[in-house]
This record gives sequence, C-alpha cells and structure tokens, in this order.
Amino acid sequence: MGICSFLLIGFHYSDAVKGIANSLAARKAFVMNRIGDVGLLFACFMLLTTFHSLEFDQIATAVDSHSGFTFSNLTLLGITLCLFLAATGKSAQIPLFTWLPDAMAGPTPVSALIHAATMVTAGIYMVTRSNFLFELAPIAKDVMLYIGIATSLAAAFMALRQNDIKKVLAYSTVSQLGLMVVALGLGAYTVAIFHVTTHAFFKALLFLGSGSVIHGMHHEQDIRKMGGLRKAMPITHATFLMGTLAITGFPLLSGFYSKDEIIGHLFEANIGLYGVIMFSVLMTAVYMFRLYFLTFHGRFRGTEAQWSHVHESPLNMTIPLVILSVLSLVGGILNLPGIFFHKGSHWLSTYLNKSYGLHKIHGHEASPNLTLVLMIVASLVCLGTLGWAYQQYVKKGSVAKDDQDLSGWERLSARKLFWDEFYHRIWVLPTQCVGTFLNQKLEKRVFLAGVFGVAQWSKKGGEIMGRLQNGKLSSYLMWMVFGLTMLVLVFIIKATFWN
Amino acid sequence: MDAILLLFLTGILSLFLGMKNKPVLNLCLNLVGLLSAGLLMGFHGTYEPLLKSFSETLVFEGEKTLVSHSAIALILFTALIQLASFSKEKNDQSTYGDLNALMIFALCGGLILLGATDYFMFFLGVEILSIPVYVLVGSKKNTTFAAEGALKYFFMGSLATAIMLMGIALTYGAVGHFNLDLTSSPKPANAFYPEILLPVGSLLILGSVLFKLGGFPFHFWNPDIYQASSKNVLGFMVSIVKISVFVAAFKLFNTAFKNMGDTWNLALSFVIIGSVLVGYLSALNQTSLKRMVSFTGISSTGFALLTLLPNENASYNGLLIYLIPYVAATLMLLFISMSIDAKDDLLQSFEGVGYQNPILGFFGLVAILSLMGIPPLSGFFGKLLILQDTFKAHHWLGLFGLLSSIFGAFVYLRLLLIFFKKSEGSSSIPLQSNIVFSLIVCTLIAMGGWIWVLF
Amino acid sequence: MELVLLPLYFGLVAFIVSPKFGRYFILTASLTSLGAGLARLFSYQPDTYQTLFSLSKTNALGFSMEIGYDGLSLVMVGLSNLVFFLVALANLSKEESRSSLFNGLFLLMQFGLNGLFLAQDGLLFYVFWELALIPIFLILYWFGANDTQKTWFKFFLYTLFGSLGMLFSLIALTQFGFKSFAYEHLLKVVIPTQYACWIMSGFLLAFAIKIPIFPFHSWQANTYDAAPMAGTMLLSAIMLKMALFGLIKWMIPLNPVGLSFWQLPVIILGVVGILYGALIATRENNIKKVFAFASLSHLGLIVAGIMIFTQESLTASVVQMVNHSLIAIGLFLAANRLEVGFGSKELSTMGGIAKLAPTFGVWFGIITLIALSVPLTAGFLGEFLLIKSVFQFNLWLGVLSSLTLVLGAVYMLRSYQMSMMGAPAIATFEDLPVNEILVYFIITALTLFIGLFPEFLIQIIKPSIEQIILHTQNPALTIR
Repeated sequence: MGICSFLLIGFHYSDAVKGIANSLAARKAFVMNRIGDVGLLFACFMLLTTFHSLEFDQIATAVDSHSGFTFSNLTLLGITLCLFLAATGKSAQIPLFTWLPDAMAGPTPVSALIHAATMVTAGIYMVTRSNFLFELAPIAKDVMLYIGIATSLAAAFMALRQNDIKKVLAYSTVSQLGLMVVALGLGAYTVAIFHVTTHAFFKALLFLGSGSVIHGMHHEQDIRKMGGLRKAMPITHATFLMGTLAITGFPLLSGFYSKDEIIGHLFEANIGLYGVIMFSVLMTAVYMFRLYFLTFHGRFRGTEAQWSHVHESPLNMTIPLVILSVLSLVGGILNLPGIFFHKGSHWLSTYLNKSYGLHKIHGHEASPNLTLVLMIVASLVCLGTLGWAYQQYVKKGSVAKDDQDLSGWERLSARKLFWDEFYHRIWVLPTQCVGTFLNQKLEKRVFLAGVFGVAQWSKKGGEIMGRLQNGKLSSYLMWMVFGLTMLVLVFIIKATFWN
Repeated sequence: MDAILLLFLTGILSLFLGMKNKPVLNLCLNLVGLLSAGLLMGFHGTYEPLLKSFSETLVFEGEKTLVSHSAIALILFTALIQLASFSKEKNDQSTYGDLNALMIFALCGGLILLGATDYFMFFLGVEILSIPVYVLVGSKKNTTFAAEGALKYFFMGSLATAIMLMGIALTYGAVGHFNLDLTSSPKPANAFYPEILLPVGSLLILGSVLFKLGGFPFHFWNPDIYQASSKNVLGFMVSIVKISVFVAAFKLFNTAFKNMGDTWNLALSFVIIGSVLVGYLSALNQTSLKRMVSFTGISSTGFALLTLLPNENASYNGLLIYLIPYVAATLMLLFISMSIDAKDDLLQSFEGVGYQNPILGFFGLVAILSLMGIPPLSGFFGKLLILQDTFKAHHWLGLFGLLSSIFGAFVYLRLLLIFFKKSEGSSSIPLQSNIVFSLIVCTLIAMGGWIWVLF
Repeated sequence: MELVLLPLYFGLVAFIVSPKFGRYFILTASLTSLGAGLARLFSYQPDTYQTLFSLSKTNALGFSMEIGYDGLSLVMVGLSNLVFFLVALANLSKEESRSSLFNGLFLLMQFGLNGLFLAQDGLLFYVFWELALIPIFLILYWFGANDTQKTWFKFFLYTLFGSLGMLFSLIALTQFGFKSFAYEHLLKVVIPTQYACWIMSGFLLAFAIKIPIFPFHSWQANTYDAAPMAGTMLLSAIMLKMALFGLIKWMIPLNPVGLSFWQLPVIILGVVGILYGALIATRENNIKKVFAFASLSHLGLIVAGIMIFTQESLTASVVQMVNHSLIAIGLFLAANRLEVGFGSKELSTMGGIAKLAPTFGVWFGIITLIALSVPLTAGFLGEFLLIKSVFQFNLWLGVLSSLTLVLGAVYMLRSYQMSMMGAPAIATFEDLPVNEILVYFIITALTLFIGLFPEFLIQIIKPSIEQIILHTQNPALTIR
C-alpha cells in the first residue's frame, strides 16, 4: 500500500513545473508512513516477545484467558501505543498527518480512492481489529481520544481558509479521521467503522465531484477563480451538494447518523469534550458550505477563456457521482439508531459484533431521549450554519479574499497553522544539518585526514633518516664504535645491577 | 670439502680464461663448476669424500640440514647471477673472467663460513668471503663512485674484522679453546672476570656480524656501497654475503652460545627495532633502486635477526624460508632492472614497465609481493615461521615484527604502483634469455619455496 | 574441488584469451562456476560436512590445507559465484570486459574468494584473504579513475593492516594449543581469559576494517567512488561478505570468551554506523558515495545482528547478506548508467531520466524499492528479524536501528527522485541494454524468491548456525 500510494502520488513526476514538487510530496508520504511502520514493527516485536504469535485470534484468546502468558500493563501500553503510532501514519493523525494534504498532488481519482476512502482507513481498521488489546490499556485509549480531538480541531481550522478544492477536502478527511479516532478512543469501535463507511461514500463523492469541477475548469483548482458553476455543471452541482450536506450532518443523511453516534458517545464520556467536538463540527459545516457556495454560486470569477470551456463532465464521470450521492443519502440505514425503527436498527453494529471481543465492549445504548436531544442540537448546528453561509456567500456575495488581505487568524488557517514549517524546522533541518556536519567535518577532517596523517609522518621520519646518512666515512665509523660500545655497556650494566 | 676445492679450481680456470678473453666459454665453465659443486654438496653424506675435511674443522652435515641447504642456495644464486650478468657488450667482457673468478672465490669463503666448526675457520671464512667482495665493489669501471665505495667498505670491514678478532680472543680467553661447539660450557680459565669475558666476546662477535649483515648502528655503509657497485655485484652481496653470514651467526648464537641468551637479548632488541625502522623510513623517500634495495635489506635483516633472539625451540626453518625467498625476490628486482638497462638507476626507469611488458610485469609482481609478505608467496611463510617462533618467548618484539610488515608494505606498494603505472604507448623491452632463465628460477623459489617446508 | 579450481583455471586461461572473445569468455567462465556451485547447492544434504581436499602430513607450519564445506560455506560460495556471474553480465557493455588482464584478475579473485569460503584451515583462510586482495587492487588501480593514488594506497594499506591483526590472532591461537591451524584444532584451543579479548580484537580489527564498521570506514567512500563499476560491485557485493563470514565462522567460535567483552561495543558501533551512514547519505551529492554510505548503513545492522549471536539473528544476518549483495549490484549498476549517461556523478546535475529512458526508470525504481526492504522481499525478512533481535537485546538500540527504515526511505527516494524525476536535464539518454535488464531482472526475481520462500535458504544454513552457536556456548563440543 505504501508503495502504490507513493507511486500514485508521484504520478505526474515529469511535469516540467511541478514534477519535483509532486515527487517530493510522494516522498513525504512514504517517509511518514515509514515512521508509522516503525511503530507497527515494534508492536509486532513486542507481541512476538510476549505472545509468541502475531495472529489476531491467538493473541485475543491469550489476552482473554491469561493462559500462561505473563504481560504487564506496561507492555500492553507499549504495544497499543506503537500500534496507534502506525495508525496515525496511515490515517493521517497528529503527528503524522501532513502528508495527506500534500498527497493531493496526485491525480484526483487517486485522492478519491485511497486518501479518502480506503487506504487512510487502514489505521482505523487495525485499531478496531486489535480492540481487545486496547481495552486493556485505557491510557492508550485516552491518548487516542485526545489526539483524535486535537486533529479534528486543527484540521478543521486549517480547512477554513484553504483555496484549493482538493486541499479543503484533504483537511476535511483528516478532520473526519480524527472523529473516527475519537470514536476508537471511546471504545465505540463499531461506530467508528460505521463512520468509516459513510465517510467513504460522501468523501469519495466529494473528491470525484471536485475532479469533475477541475476537469470542467480545465485543471484550475483554485476556488477563488470559480463561482456560479451550478448552471454549467448541473449534475456535478447536485451531487456535490448532496455530499456537502452529508458531511456536515444534515439531518437524515448518512453522515448525520454516524456523526451523531460518535457525538453521543462522547457526550456520555465527557461533556467538555463534547463541546469541543461540537466546535469542530461547526467548523466542518462552515468550511464545507464555504467551499460549496464559492464554487457553485455567485458569479464566475475566472477568465473568459475558462468560462467558455466550462461544461458538464462526460457520463463516465457523472454516473459514479450519482451512485455515490444515493449512497450518501441512504447510507445511514446501515446503522440506524434505535429511536427510529426498532427493527433492523444498528444492523452494522450487530453484524460486526460477531467479531471477537466487540460484543463484550459494546453493551449499552444511550437513552432515547438523550439521543433525540443530541440529534436536534446537531441538526440545528448544521442548518444554522447553512443559513449563515447562504447569507454570507450568496446574499452578500462575499468571496474568498486574496492572500494579502487575510486577517490574523485567517492567515494562520491558510498557512495551515505553520505546521509544515514547524516540522521542517524540527525534523528536516536538523537531520540535514547533522548529515552535512557529519559529511563535511567528521568524515572529511577527522577520518580521512587521520589516516593520511600517518602517511605524512612516515615521510617526515624518512627525511630525518636521510640526514643521518651523510656519506662521511668518519661518521659511519663513529656510529659503529658507538653501537659496539652500547652493546657491551648494556650488557655490563645489566649484569652488574640486575643480578 | 670437495665442493670447495672444486670451486676453487673453477675460479682459477676462470681467471685464466678471462685473460684469454673468451666470455662464453668462461660462463659455461663456471656454470659447470658450480653445478658439480652443488651436486657434491647436495649428496654430501652419501659418498666417500676425496679429502677428509680438515680434521673435522669443516663439517657439512648430511642431506637436509641448515648448512647443506644454505650451501646449495648459495651456489645456485651465484650461478644465477653469473648467468644473468652475462652481457654481450664489448666493454664488459674484458673483466668478465675476473669478476666471475672473484665471485667464486668469495663463494668458497662463504661455504667455509657455513661449514666452520671452530673459530679459525669462522674467521677464515669471513675474510675469504669479504676480501674479494671489496674488490668486486670497486669493479665498476669508469666511476670514482665505485672506488670510493670499495674504499669505504674496506675501511669499515677492517674495523669489523678487528672487532671480531678481539671477540674471538676474549672468547678463547674465557674457555681456552677455539672450538665453536663447546663454547657454551665455559671452562674456568685463569683470567680475571671470566664471567664477563665470554659474554663480551660474544657481543663483539655479534657486533661484527651485524656489520656484515647491515644491522642498525652498523648499517651506514650499506646504502653507499650498494649504490656504488654494479648490479650483479650488488646481487652477489645481497645473496651470498647475507645468507652465509646469517646462517653462520645462527649456528653460532643458537647452538654454540645457546645458554647465554640473556647477554644479547636486550641489545639485539634495540638493534632489531632500529634496523626495521631506519630501513623502512629511509626507503620511503628513495629515488634510486639500489639504495632502496639496501634500505629494505636493512629492514629485512632486522626482521631476520629475530631468529637470533634466545629461544628454546629455535629451528632454522624460519630463517631459511625467509632469507632465501627474500634474496630470490631481490635478485629478481635486480634482474628486471638489468633488463631495463637504464643508465641511471632511478626508480623512475621502472615506471610503467610492468604494465607494458606482461612477462616482466609478472616477474615484478611476484618479486614485490614476496617481499611484502603476501601469501601464497614464500616471503609470507618465512615471516610466519619466524613470527611463530618469536612470539612464544618475546611477545612485544613479535608484535613489532608483525607491524613491520605494514611498514614494508608502504615501501613496496610505492614500488608496485610505479612499476605498474598505467601508461599509454608500449615500449617493449627486449628480453634476454639468460636473464629470463634466471628470473624463472627465482620465481619458482619465490612462489613455491615454502612447499618444500611442508614435506 | 572444482568449486575452487575452476575459477583458477579460467583465470589463468583468461590472460591468454584475445580481447575479442574476452567478454564472452568471462561470461561463460562465470556461468560455469555458477552452475557448479548451484549443482552442489541443490544436491546438498543439510547438516552434513563435505571435505574436498586435505593434507595428511603434519608439517612445521601446522598448515593442514583443508578445504571443505558445510551449509553456511556452501551458501556463501553459491552467493560468490552468483555475484561474479552477475557482475560479469553487467559488465558486458563496458570497455574493460574486453581486456584480458581484467578478466584474468576477475576470475582469480573469484578463486581467492571461493577458496576462502571453503577453507577449513586458519592459515588457508588467511592466505586466501590476502590473495583476494591483490586482484581487486590491480583492477582498481588499472581500471579505476586516474590520479587517485592516495585512495589506492589507503585502501591497500588499511586493509593490510587489518589483515595483520588477523595474522596476530591466528599465531596467538596456535601458541596456546596445538601447533596446527586446522579449524577443528583451533576450536579446541583453550585461551586463558586475560588474552581472550586481545586475540579476538586481532580478528575484529581485520574484519572491522574490511566491512567496514564505523570508525574504520574512511577508506570506503573514496574507494567506491574512484573504482570502476565492476570493482565497486565486487567490493561491495562479495568482498565484504568475506569479513562477515569470518565474523560468524572464525572470530566468534574460536574464542567465545571474548564475545562477552566485545559484544556490546561492536553492536553499538554497528548501530552508530547505521545512523552515521544513513545521515550522510541523505546529504551526499555524489551518487556512488550515497550508495557507499547506504552500504555502510545496511552493514551496520548486519554486524549488530551477527554480534548478538542467536540462532535467529544469525539466520537473519545471512539472509540480509545475500540480499545486500544483490541490492549492491543493482544500485551500483544504476549509478553507473547514470554516470555514463550524464557524464558526472553529481545528483544535482541530474533529473528527469524516467521520461527519457522509461525502462531504466522502472528498473531503478524497483531496485530502489527492494533496497528499502519493502515486504515480500528478502530485505524485509532480514531487516525485520535483525531489528527484532537488536530490540530484544537492548530496547534503545533497537529503536535507533529501526531508524534505518525511515532514513533509508529518505536517501533512497532522494537519489531516485533527484535523478529520475522532474524535468529532464539532458537531451538524450540511452536506455538500458539487454544485459543490464537481465541483471535487474535476476536480482528482483531472487530477492522476491527469497522473500517469499526463505525456507530454501534457511534450511541449508540452519544446521551450521546451530552448531556454531552450540559450540560457542559449550566450547568442549566439536563442530563441523
């Protein structure tokens, strides 16, 4: 997966302008994933050492019955944290998430597939699979919870002022993944999987939709140059709208259900965190609606040439969009909460609970009243934001500002909280410095010179010797006599003093 | 003994033939003489000799012993040198007979030295060996250099001889007889400080031996004299003088003076370290082949002196396997240099020769690698044997000996790089068959000599 | 005996073969040797020992000249033959393969190496060790870059210095026991404890310089850089395997007592080497040097694994050795093609080759990925087990050594991308000739094969390793 992702991201490597940049993005993805892989590797080592097996079943039984395997809580904590590290790599959480936005350099179908729907969910899947380990390491779950929240917040913030369609969606993905991780941190594994599924629907839809837009705009990706496209690209517009509504949690769409379950669990765990997550949900709504309105409403802000080319995409692009939008619409059926239909509810959870261990964790359901209240709150947030956004962008015709007009917090958002720069400072530059230092100073001065130094000294020695050999017979004879005297003298001294 | 007589006769004949100016005949006669002498020496124990050896003062033991092997080696090397130095040039031919004769006389001296069982013969051997060599050194025509060299050698050699005589006298004073074998159990004599006389005597003898070999404080004559002589004389000195004096010294110090090891232990250590260091350090900057040969010779001597250190289970294997291939390799270098026939003897004349002339290159490679001590050439096995014997008793010196290989590698690598320099153009050097033959024989020694030890 | 004698025979003949047929001769010769090696490999019954030659008489030196193989040696010989074949194949398109000198030296080196792996006598091991040095040195001197006398000097003398250390150890070993260099006798030597670590350090010095292990590595970068392609490949792919093999078979079993003294320091040096090499490789601009430091990095891990000396770590080391040889050939082949195409080795001047020479782009990419130890390849197996062993030995060392995965990604991808991606920096670039494609293909196939079916390799070396470990724990046991 890492390889294919790497290769696909760097697909446009020969592009004259951005070729190297694309490759660098690919490399970044690979390296970050590698760091995650190290985590997985260590988890494997620890599992092997403790349980002598890497099979899920065997470890699950061992953990459960404590049969003959001694392991400390510390070991389990180590294992789970390492596993989570790997998950942050693949699923783009803090600290290993910065590759995802850069990975948008790849072709859009690639982004849709792996960076929205399938590959990035690998981390979530792995944690779910290993749920029995995580249940025994509550600290790890807390770590996941907080990191999930932090990621969700940070990414949502960064998305607020991005101007590239795909970048917005990328940060959105990170944010949603954060939500999933929150669910994991709460022990609500099936809910996380549920959100994975719905997210796959609408995110893929959004990405493909954006692909369609980009195609229609002739490879223009900046939303500041778009606008009013809904007339020109109706199908794309409709499906995109569907996706946007789904992701923001518009009532009764798929995203609404999955998000709500997560929020519900969080409310029960910790009300403060619930408030924080609601803030994230709010921001999600804001940036998504911003994206939608700026792209499809208002007047067109591109060039004349672009406008003349704008057209709906061909069928091969639009049909998948339609299919996905239907799924986004009704996908909630998979795991409906109990208050609506008593029969057939929580189908997904029940289905998954057959997987080992899940049924033991997932025992309870929230009270119907609480669920209803939370649903209403979430719906209000969504609808409220929709209304505000409509006001803002359609009525008032507010457009995305140019870079120099950005105010303080906006700049922070647009520049992605300077996260990439931060990483560059603390990881890349020092490594480069060390590498250069080692190369220039240590390697060249100490090692190379040291060995050559020996050669120099020998030459010097030789020169000194040469001066002794002066060709004069008298000096030779003197040396001979001296030598002879020393021979005898040494013996005599030794004989008299040592015996 | 017969061999020596035969050789003496050959030498005289050679002189006469030399007067008649027939170089080819001269060479053939010499070779025949040498060959027969070698055979006689080789089968020494198996036939009834013509002359009993001087009431046991000269003993060449049976077949496979130190002495007989060395003797055969000496004879072989002389033959090779004479063969290789045969040149068709007119100017060299007039003295050809003289040179050969002198070499043979010196060879006789060497053999006497090898077979000596008492001090008379020892001294006689050294003198008969040295005096023709003094003359040989000065034999290169048309240079004052040669005369200077000969004179220097003569002066210093005389001093060394005087020292040796003094040493012998002291030894006699301590034990009362001249026999080598019984020296180790000194009979009390009525001189004062008997326990000092014998050791000091042995030290003086050691000193003069070191002179002949080129050991540390006594090595100064080496470079000048080597440079002054012509290449064949140089080869002769390196082979005959070194081998015979070394073997004789080994016999003396490890058999005769066996129990007196403590006497020269410390001093010899200094000599060894000094020789090795001086030799290699000086050799690094040399531009002349002959001087380089001399300095590396000093170092090799230093290394071989490790065998003279007191050691319970001294065996002569190491010495022989080290010395003889060393000599063979040096001779090879000299022969190659003779092939190149440069008028000066700068190392630069070697440049690129190996690369352009594959045959010479092969010989040169074998020679240099053997000198460096790279297996599977004999040089390595010689070093190994000597080190194995040394390590048991003298750890640090053994370690130093090991390290000396790296110093040597420095020097020889430089030579190797020059020799095999990749150069464009091909100046092929005409190969003279006599030199090639000599080279081949030496190669066999260098490459295969150690196999002989195994069986 | 044909394993040893075939290359010797071919080598001597190669000097006479005329340059016209030189290339094909050397290809045939190495193929024949490979065939012989594979034949032995496939017909080998695990856990047996085969003597090929032995001297019955004892002699003054204690030299027994015994040659034979067990599983580990056979695998190494097989690897050696394979490497030589691949290098000969890769070298087909180059100038020097025509030269009879080169071919002869090449095959003589194979003779030396095969002999070394098969030697069951310490002195014979040493003889072959030094013997293998001469041909490679001459190859480097004659066919390498000009004006680098200093580099060759350093290479030769440094290596020789190490070898002398080994000689010292060997001599010392014979002093304490039997006066014999035969392996079985050397194993039985009981060394007084105070000398044990000195004796081990002699061997260690030789191997540390050869591999190289961290502080002794300064000869490596320049030598690899200035050497001709075949020279670098040979150095990296098989010459240093001599030293690694020596570590496993000679250094540790001969004085197990010394292991406890040297184990931790050498492992630390290994890990330092991993990081050091990787960090420098991320900044180095000369592509051959990048791969040289990459090599240093990988080898650090292998060395650490060997010193940990458990069944698992040794097996992983051997697998990784094989893997590293193959990767080294592939990488240096690619580097050479870049050098030939661009006329320079500086990464900053390169770019955009993947567009101009797509075949090359693909194969270089595959090799890069293999070098990154992606799963399914032998590298993954090796590195996984090695890092696990280090981790079990010491937590922090394990964490540090796992950084090789991350840093490896950085420098390998950097080299690949700087040369392949972006806009082309040059107008035309010759695509790969057939022989190079073949080499890449073989390398890929083999690493995948070993990665997917490692059992074939492991079952051959397992008994040997078991015996070695058994012996180390209980020196009284004889091993074969």
